[in-house]
Amino acid sequence: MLNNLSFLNDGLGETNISTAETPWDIELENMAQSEDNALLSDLRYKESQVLSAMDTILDADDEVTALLGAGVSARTTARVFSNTISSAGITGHAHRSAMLGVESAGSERLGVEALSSAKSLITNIVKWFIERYKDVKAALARTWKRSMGSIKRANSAWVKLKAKVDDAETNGYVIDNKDKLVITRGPAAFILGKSSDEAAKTPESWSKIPTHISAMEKQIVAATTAALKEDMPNVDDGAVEGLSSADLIKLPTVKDGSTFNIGGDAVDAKGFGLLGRSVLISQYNTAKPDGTLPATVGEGNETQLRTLKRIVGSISFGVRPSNMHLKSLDEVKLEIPSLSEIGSLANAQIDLTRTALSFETDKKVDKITRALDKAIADSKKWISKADGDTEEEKRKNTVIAALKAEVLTNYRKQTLELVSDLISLTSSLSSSHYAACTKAMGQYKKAA
Amino acid sequence: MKTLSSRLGVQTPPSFAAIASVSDDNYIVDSADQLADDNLLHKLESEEAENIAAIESTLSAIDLLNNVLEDGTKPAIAKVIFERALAHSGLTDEDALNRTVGCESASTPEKLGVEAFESGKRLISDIIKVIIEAYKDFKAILKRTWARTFGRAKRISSGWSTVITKAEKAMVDGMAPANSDKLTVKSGSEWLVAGTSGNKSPKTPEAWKDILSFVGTNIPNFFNELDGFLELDIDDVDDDKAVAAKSTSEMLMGLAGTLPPFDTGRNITVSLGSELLGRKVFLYESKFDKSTIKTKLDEVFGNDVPNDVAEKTFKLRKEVLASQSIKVASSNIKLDSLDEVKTDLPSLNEVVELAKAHVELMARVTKFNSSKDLNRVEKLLDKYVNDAEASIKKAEGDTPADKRVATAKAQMISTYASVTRKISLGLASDMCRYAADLSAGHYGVVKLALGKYKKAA
Repeated sequence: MLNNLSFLNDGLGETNISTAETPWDIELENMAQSEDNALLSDLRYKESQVLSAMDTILDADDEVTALLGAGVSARTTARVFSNTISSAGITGHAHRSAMLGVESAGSERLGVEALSSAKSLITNIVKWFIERYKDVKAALARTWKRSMGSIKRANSAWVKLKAKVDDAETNGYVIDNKDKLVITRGPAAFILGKSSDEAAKTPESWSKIPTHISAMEKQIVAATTAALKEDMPNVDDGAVEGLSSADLIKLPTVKDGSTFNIGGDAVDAKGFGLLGRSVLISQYNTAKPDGTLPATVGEGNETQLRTLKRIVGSISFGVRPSNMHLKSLDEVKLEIPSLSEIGSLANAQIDLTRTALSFETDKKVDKITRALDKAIADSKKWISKADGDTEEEKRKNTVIAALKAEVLTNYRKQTLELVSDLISLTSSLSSSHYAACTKAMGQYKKAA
Repeated sequence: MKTLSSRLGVQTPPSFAAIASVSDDNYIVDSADQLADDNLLHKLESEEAENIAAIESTLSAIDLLNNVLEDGTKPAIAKVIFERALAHSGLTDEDALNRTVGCESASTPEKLGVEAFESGKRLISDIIKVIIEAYKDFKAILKRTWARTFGRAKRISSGWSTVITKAEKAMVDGMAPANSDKLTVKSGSEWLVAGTSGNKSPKTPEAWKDILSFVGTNIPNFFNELDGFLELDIDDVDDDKAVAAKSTSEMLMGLAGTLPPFDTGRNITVSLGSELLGRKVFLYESKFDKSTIKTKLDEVFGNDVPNDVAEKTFKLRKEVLASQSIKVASSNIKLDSLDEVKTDLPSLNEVVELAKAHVELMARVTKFNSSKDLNRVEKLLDKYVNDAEASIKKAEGDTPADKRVATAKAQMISTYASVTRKISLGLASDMCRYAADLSAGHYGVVKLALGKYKKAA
């Protein structure tokens, strides 16, 4: 059972942001991001609930047909319908309204009444979905902007740090031999290269970190470019309308990425190691589709479209650390890096942050946003269609509207969110390394 | 939503051991980590809500099966109906089939009813185990958040002390701003605004003296309420029978506490809360109104709530408890045009007063760090987990009636643990963070204001 979908009636809005400059601006910005994160998490959760609810409601209608066909009484069939829509999270007034015609109908009318209720419920859900999509887009846009601000600051800080390192080298700065670098914060983000708990406890040597960063930079570029490029070839000429089912399930691939199992038997996931964690780029929960799927959205029969919706919905995108649960990482002691090692790390970070900044001006992001806006308009069109025509057409159009909503979510995750997450992760890594380097630099003193 | 199977199948990550440091030079990293924890917490909360909903759905499936059998539906069809109903609770079709395998051989409606209950009970036990396991992660995340908040509070407090020194020196030095100087707050201005909750008024910041009054009076009041929360329901922490013996009415009264009521405008919602940072803050929200709860209690128990372990007692308690929503939620997130606000500069006296109020406020926040109440709440929560685990074990044996009661009790206890966590650790954590956010917001603004002061020519 899903949670109550009463939030369908709630409203949400936006907050504005500005570019942070001082440390206290950053503090404020982080507070605002914290709110946006909560907003995004909440919206994503609700979105997943409503997308799933649509499937369950269609199932409820199918069950009515099947039970009546098997000669089950109208009373029992109505009970099952009631229970199933409750499982979809339809409760309270919405439930009573949906059951109004169904409860009083005899066997001959029950199918029609159940379909009418199901269509009405799905229509309302899609309308809610369309409305909330704006909030998700706005929150993502703000997050994107803040992340870019953070990367800019990181870039500037690393450039300054590199200058200090050069200065220290020129002036013959040294450290006490006994000095150790104690990292008490964020070591999980600090450590690169391996994902097991044991390996993470022993940080890689400093000399390897720049190499890891360079490799990671390539992976981020590959994943981001793939996300920005894939599946949007005809963005200016009706891309979403004309997308084929093969396009819908096509995933961004990372050339040197590895395939790994997330934990379920029927899961096929792709990803790569980043920050010492396995980063999930895509994940199927169902078997890959066969040739029975429709060629394009809007074609095909209802069953094919519903199958397609389920497949599209089962694909998961995200930058997901697989080993968040690292233990005993609250304090790590390591050798103080040499000035040349700190310098190399600074250079690597400068390259990484520059690369991340290059995505800011990428017009592809705008194009994708436009394509997504178009998809919204498209969903609305199918919703309108679902109110007219024959019963069969209504049903199919309702399914198409639901599929469009699913596709929309899929693309948003595949493009805007994936890129945003990668940029955030880059920023987090950079902050963590910067804090460690600043600390290490503090141990250097002018030779007496 | 086909996610329950994966949640049941995948081991919950072990809890974190790392706790945030409070060193001054890492607050940016702290923030990044906190964002990650916020996301993790939200994910866990979502999953917990889904798990609790899945328990309800499983119970509904059992009831549905009994009802359709009473309607005269053939066992073979009833079994399929049951299987489908379980699948709607989030199981995959295959998992639903596997979990109802005993039902295949049930030849009579009675036997099918028994088998279906056994299947449902096993499923509920498995879900509760997942809930209990995830609870450890909840606690770890909240503790890290807590530690970071105290770290921030200490840093912020130190910042305010510096402000006091600087402002007092500026007064001695006779520093003054130009007459035309205005304070332009570019970011986070919502944190500057206090006292009102309408969308319009926050655009025009309240006068500084109102802010002073707000910080000096309202926030400590709010923390007094928090004190009240931490004292709730923990009197019996050392008593083994605390949870079992607690009556429904005691639980409700304990949860409601002595909070000031306010109406959110929804007929079926009773909300208690206060205002903080110009927003309505929900402390407690019940989907039942008071009269409905009373009616329900009267219907089931009359005036006297028994301490025995009847299934219906636990079911009702769970129903009421699950309807509680406890959070520090902003009611006016959608403030517009707050990216730039101009206001008059505060006087140096006002700056000092505000700084002193915030030093006190932060002292109030850090006070909770050493509060023994928190440890007591934590102990109580641990005890609930143990109780729930014991009940799950009980549900494996004894008579069918005992099994149902033990299952219902385990559900009730896990729901109570969830509510208590939200009402104590979660709420206290949110409130301290809110106070730290407010203080950081004001501090940023005051730093800007002080920058306008110059030595008179």
